[in-house]
Amino acid sequence: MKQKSNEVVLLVCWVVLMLATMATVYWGAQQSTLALQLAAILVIAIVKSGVIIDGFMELRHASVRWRMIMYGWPVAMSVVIAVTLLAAQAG
Amino acid sequence: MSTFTLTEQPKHKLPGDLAMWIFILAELAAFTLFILAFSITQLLKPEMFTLGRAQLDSSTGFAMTAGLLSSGFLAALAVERARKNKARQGSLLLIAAIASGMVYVVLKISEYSHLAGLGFDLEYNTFFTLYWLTTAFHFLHVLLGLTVLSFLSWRCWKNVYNAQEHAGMESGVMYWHMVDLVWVIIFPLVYLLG
Repeated sequence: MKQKSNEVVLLVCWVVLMLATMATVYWGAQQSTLALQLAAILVIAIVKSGVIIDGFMELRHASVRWRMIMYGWPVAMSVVIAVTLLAAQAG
Repeated sequence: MSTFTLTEQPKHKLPGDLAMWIFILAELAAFTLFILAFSITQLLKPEMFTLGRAQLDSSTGFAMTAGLLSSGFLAALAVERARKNKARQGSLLLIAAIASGMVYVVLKISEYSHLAGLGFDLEYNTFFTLYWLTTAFHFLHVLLGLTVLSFLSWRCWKNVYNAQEHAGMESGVMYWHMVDLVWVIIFPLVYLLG
């Protein structure tokens, strides 16, 4: 029963990832402000990363330390991307 | 007082081998350098990056992403089947995962060929230098990941993995998920933002 539920979790993860990828491309094509586009696309990227980390990689069962390390990477990369793009626009 | 039985899962279980997780962290550190280089250079030359990005097709990027993420889903499903002593089903799922991953490979080669044909090669400008280096580094990881999945599929077909022994398979599939994770960040950075 537990194994079956894991497969359902994986299926839900895949559906969420596909919908989130469509949303990413949608926001990429929008002519909105850079700040809004950045916020939308990078939040979606962090959500997708979380689905991969907790769902596919199964770190939801792991220690908080490992989850923080793995979550830290997409969050840190998103911050770098957002800060440099906003600074480029301001400059 | 509760009794611990053999059927219970350890409270904080890390899938696969610890060595693979250390390797994954090292790989993420390497990709961090490429992302930093791309982002900082974009800060210095924003117009060049906007013009360069306009040469890329985001719908192709979507199809590549869908191929990789679907492959990750099928590979994760294969691990589940192996854990249920259905390694041969796992083998077939891994073959499907490889086929889905090949969608990315075919589209990426097509994109490389198209850009090279238009003259946007490694030396065209700084945007394309970083585009080629970053995506080619990831592309090589995809090829290595597909090789690992092929090996795991063969091992599954020989019923090497089962409910008791599957750490090696988990480690290989974790590597493939790391390749997905990196692409989730590279895709918007290279194709969409800015």
